[in-house]
Amino acid sequence: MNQHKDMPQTAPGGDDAEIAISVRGLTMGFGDQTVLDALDIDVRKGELLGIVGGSGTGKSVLMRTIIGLNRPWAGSIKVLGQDLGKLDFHERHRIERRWGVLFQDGALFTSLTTAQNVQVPLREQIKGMPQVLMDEIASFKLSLVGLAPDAGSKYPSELSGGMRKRAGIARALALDPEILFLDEPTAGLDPIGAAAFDQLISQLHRVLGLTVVMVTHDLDSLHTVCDRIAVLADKKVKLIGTMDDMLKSDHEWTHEYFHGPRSRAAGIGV
Amino acid sequence: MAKAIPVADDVWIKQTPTSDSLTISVGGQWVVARIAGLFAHLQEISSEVDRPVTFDMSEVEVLDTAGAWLIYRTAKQFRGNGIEVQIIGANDDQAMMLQQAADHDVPTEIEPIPNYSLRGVIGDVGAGVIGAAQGAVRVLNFFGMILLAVGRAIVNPKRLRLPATIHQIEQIGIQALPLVGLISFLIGVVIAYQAATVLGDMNAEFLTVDMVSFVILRELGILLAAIMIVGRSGSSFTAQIGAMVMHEEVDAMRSLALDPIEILVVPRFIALVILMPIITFYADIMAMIGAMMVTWANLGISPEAFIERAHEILTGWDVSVGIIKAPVFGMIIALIGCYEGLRVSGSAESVGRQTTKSVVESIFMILLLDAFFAVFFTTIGI
Ligand SMILES: Nc1ncnc2c1ncn2[C@@H]1O[C@H](COP(=O)(O)OP(=O)(O)OP(=O)(O)O)[C@@H](O)[C@H]1O
Ligand SMILES: [Mg+2]
Repeated sequence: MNQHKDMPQTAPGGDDAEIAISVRGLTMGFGDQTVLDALDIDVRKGELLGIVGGSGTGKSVLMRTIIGLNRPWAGSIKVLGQDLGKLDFHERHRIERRWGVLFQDGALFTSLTTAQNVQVPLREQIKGMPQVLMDEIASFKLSLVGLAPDAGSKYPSELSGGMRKRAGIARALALDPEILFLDEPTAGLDPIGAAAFDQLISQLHRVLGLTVVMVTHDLDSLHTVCDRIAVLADKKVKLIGTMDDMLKSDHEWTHEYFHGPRSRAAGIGV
Repeated sequence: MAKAIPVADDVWIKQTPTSDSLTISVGGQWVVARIAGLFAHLQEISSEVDRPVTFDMSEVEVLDTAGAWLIYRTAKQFRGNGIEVQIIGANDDQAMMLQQAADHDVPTEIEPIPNYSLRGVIGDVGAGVIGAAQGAVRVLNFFGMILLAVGRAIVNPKRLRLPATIHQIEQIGIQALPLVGLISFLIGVVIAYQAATVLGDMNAEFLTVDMVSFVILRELGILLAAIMIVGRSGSSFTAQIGAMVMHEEVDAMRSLALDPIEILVVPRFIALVILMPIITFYADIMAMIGAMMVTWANLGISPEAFIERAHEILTGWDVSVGIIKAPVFGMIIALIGCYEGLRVSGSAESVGRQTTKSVVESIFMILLLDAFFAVFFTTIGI
């Protein structure tokens, strides 16, 4: 639903209309270590996709490569119908405004207060935004992610880890992006906070028609909010599908992951 | 008499007044990218409104949270002015977004809270003086801790982090040689050139060698070396340690019962105390070579004659005065560089601030001590 008018529709009709992100043959690594090897993945428009995989399998690397922070060795990445490898500076800039990112450790600007952090994209990207409105929108977004009003004037170093995460999401949502990338959003939150967070993401996803790509190890999140789950293993997407598909899988790691004691505690596969 | 105000080509606001009400129909893309223009128009409308208002949202194609917020806050503003507001035509999703805006209408503090002080200017000056005094005490205290740690390392050499120390010696010393050498050489050239010119005017160019060798060996070599090492190494000590403090690495060390002074400070301290005399000696030689080139080219004094003359007039003390000061200056650079690094707090800005402070304080302390040394050496007659 969030289709801006100025968006060039490169491929009218066809599959592209349904696919938000399409990655083909992505190979990426560091030095002589290959982290991702000819990886393919499609993210559908409006879905909430969870990415799981053991520590160090390259989930963060995949996310960073899709948003262009790492240069891939080979392969193509299409986001909202545009091939990121072929964009010029301005097109690239325009597409970057259409996604929001929460980094694994928040990555807030340390010399700005939380509220000022949320205002950065508004100030830099929207011309002529009046300060009152910017203050109001920052307050709205901070409250939306469940931060108390007194957190707005605090510096990131004065926040708890969970609060930093929330502030990071508030900043990612500042420009009402169409795609939201989240790297372990609920890690470091208490279970009640994490559940509320899941609800928040699921609601934003539903109400704003957001496409959400979420790296997570939180089985509750996977269970309650994700439409589909992708399993990253052996440098590839080993498996992608619904929770039921995961439970039926005989891939060893996947089986262990979704049938372990923690899954049972989360009420999965029982 | 409806008037439609197109705000951009894909979003509009239309007013339809009747005798006892006003319908504001809005439509198109109510998204964050259009928000600034929409806000301005709504403010204009709000200043004229004098009767009950109905917002008709039925033609809104896209509404995002910023758009929803704008509609909500405008309605609120109207109500605040005593005007009745009704919102119609929102579909379920849009109604939900408006509800979100209402639910999260929680004004938040934006700016950092300033530290108000009622003590006024006099109080601030007093606090500044006390702060400076406390700072001096803290630096001395830190110096004591370093000396203790160095003492422990000497008594129990296992506590000395040899690889780290050697790494620092390499970073500070070996890699500084090209820069220090080049700059010393150039300064030697400049000094000798100026000396030869001034002394030449007084028909005393035979004194050029005397003058430049005194100046270089007693003062210039050591000051050049010290200031370059402050800029190259003192600043990087502060920035490195500061970044570690910022990422809680120093806290992590403490929690693992490791002593940050022993691990971070002592290797840098020892490295500088060992290296400063060597770097100074090297700077002396390079500056002398520079001076020698000038006297040779301009005054026709051959290098052999230069060296012979220098040998005649210089005492052992002239050569050692500079070198004696070197380890002391090395201690100062390491002390202040590490101290300011450990005082970094949370933000990247504070790393920058502490680094500036460390460089300024180190250079100030070095020049101050150098003045004391000059008086001291003159008094005892060397
Ligand atoms: N900048 C980098 N330079 C070199 N190697 C890197 C870099 N970033 C990541 N790696 C390597 O890539 C691999 C994948 O890392 P990545 O951060 O994507 O793991 P992850 O799946 O996100 O793990 P986790 O669940 O622990 O966050 C790791 O082996 C890591 O060492
Ligand atoms: Mg990761």
